[in-house]
Amino acid sequence: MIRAIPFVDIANPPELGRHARQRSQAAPTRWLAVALGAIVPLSVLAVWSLAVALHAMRPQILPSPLAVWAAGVDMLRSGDLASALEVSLGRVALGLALGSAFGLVAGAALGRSRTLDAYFGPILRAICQIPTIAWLPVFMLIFGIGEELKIAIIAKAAFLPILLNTFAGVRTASARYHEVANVLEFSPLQRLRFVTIPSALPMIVSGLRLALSNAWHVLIVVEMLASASGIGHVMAWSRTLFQLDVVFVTVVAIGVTGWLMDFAMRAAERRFSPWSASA
Amino acid sequence: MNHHFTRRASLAAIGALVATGTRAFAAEAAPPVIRIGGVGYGYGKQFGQNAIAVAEAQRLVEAETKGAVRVEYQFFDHTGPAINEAIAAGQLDFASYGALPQIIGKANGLPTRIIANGGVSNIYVGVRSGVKANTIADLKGLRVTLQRGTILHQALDRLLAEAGLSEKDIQLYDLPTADQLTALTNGDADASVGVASILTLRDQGIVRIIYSTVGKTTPDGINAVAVTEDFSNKYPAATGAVVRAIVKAANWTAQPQNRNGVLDIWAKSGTPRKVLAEDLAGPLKDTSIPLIDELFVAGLKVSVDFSARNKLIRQPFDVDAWIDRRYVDSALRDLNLVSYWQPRHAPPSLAKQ
Repeated sequence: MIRAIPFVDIANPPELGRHARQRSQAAPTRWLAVALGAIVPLSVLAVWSLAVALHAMRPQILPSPLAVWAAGVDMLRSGDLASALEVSLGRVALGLALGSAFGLVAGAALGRSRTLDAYFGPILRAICQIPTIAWLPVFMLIFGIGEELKIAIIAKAAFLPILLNTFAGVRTASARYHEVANVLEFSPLQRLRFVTIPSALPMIVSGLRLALSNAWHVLIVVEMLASASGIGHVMAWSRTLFQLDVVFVTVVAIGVTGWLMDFAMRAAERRFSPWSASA
Repeated sequence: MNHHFTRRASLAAIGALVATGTRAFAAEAAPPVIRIGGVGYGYGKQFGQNAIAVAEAQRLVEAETKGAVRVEYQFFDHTGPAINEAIAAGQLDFASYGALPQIIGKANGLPTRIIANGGVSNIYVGVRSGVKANTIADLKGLRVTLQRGTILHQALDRLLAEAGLSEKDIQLYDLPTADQLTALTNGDADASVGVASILTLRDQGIVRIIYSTVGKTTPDGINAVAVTEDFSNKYPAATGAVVRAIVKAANWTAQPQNRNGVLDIWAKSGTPRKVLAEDLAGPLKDTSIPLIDELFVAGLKVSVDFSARNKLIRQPFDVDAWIDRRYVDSALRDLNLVSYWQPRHAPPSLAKQ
């Protein structure tokens, strides 16, 4: 039974080699990576400061980095930023959980059954092509303008990447691995445990990473359009109040939060790849 | 210091130039372009529904500047914040829009002066069909939708206070106009505060109108015309020319025999002509008024107070110092319209402001 795992490793030698190389280089080059990653943001900050110093734009439309910093510190101290992010992250968590659950079930079902795929595959792929935000008016008719609307929109945004990746993970696993499973006379449960899940999991985690990123994007838009709370609302409302320093703070907060979530998901992606986890 | 000196000097220059009226226009260097902005309505291309739109249609600014200057108009989809941003980015010299976003802009340091009354927008409160509410007091506990930070928000605040209520007694949903329609149709909102476009919903049987400012003397729905200090300091004569064009446009709009012509221009936005006709059913002289009179100034002060109370602005500021009435006063004299509009007095409840 344990033989199934080495089999997966051997099946992906290039992946193994790439990940192993990355890891061996990771420690000494980490600081260099941080330094390289900081070059562009620091240049932007320099150009920004220069533009402010030269009065290239009015401070009302381009507040100075210091003004933005002060507004940010103010929002951190007052807890406004934390409470807005808390509301937004809560919505993302709930929407992502719902969307992933549906996506996982639907993706696995379509991946396993060619009949289901024949019926539902084309329409789901067509729906994929329509941006989530374009559904807003329709979703508003169904879910109203309350909390359900935001959760539904996020769930919809998260659903598709999970569905497609689960589908692909389940489908691509089948060909050769299942032949081996047949030879080894696996029970359906063993087949799930040692073939389907290990081979689909990396794809599913990649899907989850994409889903989280999609969910975060649409959440901000939905909060800007139809909400009285959350970080997207703070951004839209500060724009109404012509407090561009606060708008800049929310832009940074949204970017940093999104980046941190993606960073965590990338770590999870590496963790859940069976070949790298077992190495 | 130097800056202050030049500002004083140019203020003195404005006085001199405005006093001499049209003839002064040739004396100062003409601006390469005059850019005028306003609140727009419509789908896709935006059209104005105020004196600015009439001035554009009749090329009145071009006439006042003897065709020597290019004039550009830009109307923004319903939105004051976008106009504030355009002014801050140096893309507009003049703008006619709601008092509330103007106050928010000014409080955040936007260098503008108020140079004319931009006319009055009628405000309506509609209740979804089937909801049992006939007065503002009946809104208690209901879900009301509007765009926060607008003159509509301020009007609701005043109406609630009059009825002995506050915003805490209702559930306020901040939604863009198009989504308000969905919310009302859907039963997710019980009431909405809006301008004339809400009459379209009434015609479709979605709402009943329970209140409107039509024919009432209220400080609600104030629009104002602003100029950037940069422009008025540099081109006082051109500023005077633009204000003359606006006063002319307001005067043309206010005359009963031009009602159809006004509708022709304003209906370009796609707002049904029937709805606009109803909105304008009262004496046009009451809504198309360029005067900086007692009611207008009191209304601006009410707006500043409202904005400070609701933390829309960090600090109140001096409204009187923001207003520069010389342009509109001399335009009225130049056009022999000094006695055309009667200055409105503020009702006693506002006079204390």
